[in-house]
Amino acid sequence: MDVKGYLVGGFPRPASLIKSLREHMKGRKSLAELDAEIHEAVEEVVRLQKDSGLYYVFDGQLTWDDLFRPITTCLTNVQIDGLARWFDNNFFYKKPVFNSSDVKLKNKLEEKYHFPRILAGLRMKAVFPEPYTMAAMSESENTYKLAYRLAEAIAELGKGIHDLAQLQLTAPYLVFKKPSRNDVEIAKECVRIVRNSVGCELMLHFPFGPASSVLPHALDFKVDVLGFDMYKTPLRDLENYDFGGVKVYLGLLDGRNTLVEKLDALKELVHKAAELLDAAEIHVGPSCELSLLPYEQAVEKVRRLGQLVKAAGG
Amino acid sequence: MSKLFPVIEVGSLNKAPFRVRDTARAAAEAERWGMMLGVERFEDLVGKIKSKTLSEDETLDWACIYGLKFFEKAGLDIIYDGEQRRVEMYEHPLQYIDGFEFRGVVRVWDNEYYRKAAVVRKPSLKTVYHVDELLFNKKHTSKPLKVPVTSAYTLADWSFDEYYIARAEGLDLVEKLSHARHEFVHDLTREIIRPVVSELASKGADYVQLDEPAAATKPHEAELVVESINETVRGVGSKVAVHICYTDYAALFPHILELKADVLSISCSNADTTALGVEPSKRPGFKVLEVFRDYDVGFAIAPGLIDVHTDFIEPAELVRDRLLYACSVLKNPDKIYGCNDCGLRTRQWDVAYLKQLNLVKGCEMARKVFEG
Repeated sequence: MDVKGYLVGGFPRPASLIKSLREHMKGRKSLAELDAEIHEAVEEVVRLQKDSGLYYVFDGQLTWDDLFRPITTCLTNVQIDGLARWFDNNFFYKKPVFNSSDVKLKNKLEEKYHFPRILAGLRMKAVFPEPYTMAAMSESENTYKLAYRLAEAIAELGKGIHDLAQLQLTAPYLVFKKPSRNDVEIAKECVRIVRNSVGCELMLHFPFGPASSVLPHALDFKVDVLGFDMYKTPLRDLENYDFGGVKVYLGLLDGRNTLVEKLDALKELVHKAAELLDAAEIHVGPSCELSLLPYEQAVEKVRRLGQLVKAAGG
Repeated sequence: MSKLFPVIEVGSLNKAPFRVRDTARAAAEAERWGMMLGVERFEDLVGKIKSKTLSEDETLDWACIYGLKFFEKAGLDIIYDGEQRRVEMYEHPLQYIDGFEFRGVVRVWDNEYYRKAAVVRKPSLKTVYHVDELLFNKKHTSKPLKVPVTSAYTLADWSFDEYYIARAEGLDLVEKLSHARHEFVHDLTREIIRPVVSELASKGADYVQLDEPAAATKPHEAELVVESINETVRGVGSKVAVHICYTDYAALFPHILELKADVLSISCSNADTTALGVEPSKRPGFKVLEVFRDYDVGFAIAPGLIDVHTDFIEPAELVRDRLLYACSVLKNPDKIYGCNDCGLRTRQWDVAYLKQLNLVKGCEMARKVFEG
């Protein structure tokens, strides 16, 4: 059996970087010094994934304050407003407020938000918000229209990253509460817009909610990988669906809890899933972004994931 | 309480203004606020600050006295000390509970972090907390006291679980997580929060306020939240207030109908406009009250009439209009209290005090409308 392990969202900042960002804000650290430290921290996170044997590697989004903020810096007609809860987490994002749904891409993703040079030569992945999720969690006069414009913008941003091996669209809004049929259709069309622009593997990941919220409709999304949060989705709920050629990612390591899962139990789950899904290839990793954990525990989770890939694969 | 619209505080105040390193400034602030609030023998505090003989314990004692007088002088009916002895609402209680270990910092937003602990064994109470604080405060005011206590569900929700989930059996991660979660919350309720609340009640707390900011975070656990609160306060002699802020209150229904509390305080003004008036268009922050009316809840509601996240001083007329609008929605003025959206910890004392004066004045103006 082929088992591929990788991350599905931002990594926590190390304590030294948290401190340096604060010092920079207070004018006590120059931008050049901060940049050097950011690069060092990104290199460390990339090295960790590589050394652990993860299949795709990404930069950890250490400079992203939330999943939407860097995207908004590339768009017209948007401002950032107050704090809003990030699903059922004790983490808050700043809500994008669109003055008009006629949103356009005004520039590429700023250099401080991605690090292609550090990832050169590796199977690089990037993580963006699924367009409908971002539209629904923003303020605008027309969510549906905004979602299409965001899809076009995100497609362009994805296309602009060279040598991308996997692009992940994160779609918690489609599972946290059961979406309407219309919401799903709009989301599907948004994903198709992205699909048509990027040639790499496309993943749609659904953290923080059960797969039953979006299945079977998720099977119609034009993606290569569907990712599920297995702390919200009983394994048996996936059993009765025919995923066809779409690969399944199982979020088996709890991205919201510090307890490092037992290797044997994880291995058993992977084998059981492969059997239930009749799959020769299984993708595994955390249930969500690891940025909801302290840095040291996130490192431990990545190491455990690496051990799982070695133990369950082959 | 027979008075229409009794005014209650919700919790924390910023550190008392004399708790600064600059001795001259500390003495000046102790004097200024001592005079303004009518603190007895404040000159003793000023003298000790000037002579640099004020101990840490004395500092906290004086801070509590100033906190009590702050609310008392502003005219609130039910008060506390502004939580002057507490670090904050999560780390402070964990000092008194065995079974937790801090794991590091996690992000709340942007580059802001809080220290988060993991439960590593069954929690047990090292010592009952908040009681000394209550007994001290009782000596320094004749007003009814309301003691804020971080409740079990929120303590669990804000912690990692390295104990219960590890013990849960089976392969299904969803079932394991749910089982572990219930056990964790019930243990915190039975072993920690209920004993603390019972002791506070037996020592004469007029009200105990259970703080549950995490209550509606996970809508599927609303029943667990209510079960935990009800078990905490079962049979206790004090009146029970519950404070839940900045959340989707609708997510708590219908389970919250079973809540055994006298009053529920909620935040409204943070989402409201500052325009005067009692029309729905002027009072969007109070639309949330409709769900409480529609379900005809049995407990009183204390809608937040003051936004604690801005330095804007709400005019008394705005407080009045917000309260009158709340009455028009809820229909039952006898079951409405006046209060702030949340604790005032993020505001300087000068701002917070003016806000409290107008809170009291605005409630009085609304009272006159009803009493003629």
